Amino acid sequence: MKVLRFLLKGKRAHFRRFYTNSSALTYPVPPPATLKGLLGAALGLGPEYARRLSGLYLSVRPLGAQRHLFQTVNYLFLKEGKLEELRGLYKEGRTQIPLQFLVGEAGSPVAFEVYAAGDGGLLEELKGALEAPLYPLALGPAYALAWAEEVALGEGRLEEGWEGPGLGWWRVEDLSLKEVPLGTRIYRDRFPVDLAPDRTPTRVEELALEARGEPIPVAYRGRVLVVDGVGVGVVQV
Amino acid sequence: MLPNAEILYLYEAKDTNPNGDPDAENRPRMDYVGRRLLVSDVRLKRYVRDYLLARGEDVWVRSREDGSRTDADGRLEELKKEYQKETGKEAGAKKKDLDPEFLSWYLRRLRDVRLFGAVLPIKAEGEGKGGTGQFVGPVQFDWGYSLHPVEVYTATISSVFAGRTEGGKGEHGTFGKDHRVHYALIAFWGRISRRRGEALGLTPEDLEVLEKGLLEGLLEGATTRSKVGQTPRLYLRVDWREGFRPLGDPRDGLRVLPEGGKAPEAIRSVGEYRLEASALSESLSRFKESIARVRLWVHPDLKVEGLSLEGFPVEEVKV
Repeated sequence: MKVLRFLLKGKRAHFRRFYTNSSALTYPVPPPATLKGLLGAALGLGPEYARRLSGLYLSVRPLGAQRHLFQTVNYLFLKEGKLEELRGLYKEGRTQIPLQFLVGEAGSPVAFEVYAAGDGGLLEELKGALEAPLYPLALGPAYALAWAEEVALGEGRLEEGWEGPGLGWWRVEDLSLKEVPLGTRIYRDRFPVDLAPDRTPTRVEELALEARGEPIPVAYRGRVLVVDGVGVGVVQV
Repeated sequence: MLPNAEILYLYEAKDTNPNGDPDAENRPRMDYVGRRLLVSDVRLKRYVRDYLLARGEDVWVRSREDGSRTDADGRLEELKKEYQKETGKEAGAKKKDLDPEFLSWYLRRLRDVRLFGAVLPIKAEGEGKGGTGQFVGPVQFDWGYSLHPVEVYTATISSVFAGRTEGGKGEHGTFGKDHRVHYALIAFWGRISRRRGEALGLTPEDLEVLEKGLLEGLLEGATTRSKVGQTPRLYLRVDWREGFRPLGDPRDGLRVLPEGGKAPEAIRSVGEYRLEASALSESLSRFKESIARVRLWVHPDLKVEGLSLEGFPVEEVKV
């Protein structure tokens, strides 16, 4: 099976945890729905991206040292979407939201390694699109500008179940961890996998990942993409 | 024809507060770990919007010309009347879906929406809920940051007006805190998307106005007490022939080198450092074949080293 691997980089990222309200907290990696949208943007697709990319297997892990940066942003207070509110004239004024960014250490970019597997023709197309995207890439909000590096096609295979070193994200219900190395940090959360046209999540999965992107020994009952002897935990979008 | 493009925009902030943090007593936005000053994309776009207003244009996000706040229905009525006067048609603003003809008129009228996008209200029919329509802006700026560590200082300021006069108490001025940075060379990275621009009716002339807004608007608009002292120093736009290329963040190719052995946070003026740009030149050279043109403006007081654009189709931006 063809596997597309690339590095995704930018100066700041914000992948809002969909269930947050008065604070905008970020996931440590782009969720499956965000990655799917990013690939659609590279291809220059509109809302049809969801159908066009349906069935792809995706995975991601953070690369390099990252940290959080909080900034409070001044948002319009919208209760009914009235023009008055959109002009900042809501009677209760504006609302200030703490916004959590992911940034790289010492001015370095925030970076992720992304895997996509599926139909070879589509992956060829995606490779070209990531090297010269039709819409600009972004790490979450449109202003979090991004770019792709080291875009390469390789080979892998899908397997049911895996025991051995693994990276990427894992469905919590199918995952067992054994002899976890000291210092391992597991992040576990609910991630949006599919979105409705109005961007409300229609499918959510509880996933776990190693927070620094390090490979960990896993025993996994779900579907795994095996690349160069390493199991890559994938989610089909 | 509209380009896909990258923008690098540098300006200095001298004894000023470029972008106050509403959650930190309006202190300048800072990344205290990285010791870099931050400026949001919203702040930068505000300068351009204010520049458009000063030119006599209408913009979407604004207060009234006389500074007063307009009633929402009144504003909508104004827009509808204007639309009707120009076209002889009803705006159809109460439909669940946006009226395409009204939308088209709206986009022609508001340059800031064509550049930066907007969220539009859709009025509800009867008791039903309204909705919103979203235009993603063709021009996006990543948050700006200083290219060197900066220090924030605080002064105590007094006001002439009494804070409280009840019972004769407090008939004196009040005291407050004023937070500023000594000096920061702030850099923004922006992008222009041809596809998004086509969808919103963005024109090449809009992009010229954007450039003027960045270069002239900052000088004209940043004149309030907390914003004075900001000067554009460099503008560079790279137009791609086709899709975006992985140039990366152009700010990564720049280094501020203080002169006379100074620490970077001790810089107090543009004359006290050189901007080293050879890494940016190398990055641009890698994509030479993909670059349709480069538009460049450099302030005469900024000392730039290593910015080699030989062999590139360079256009000088006139200010």
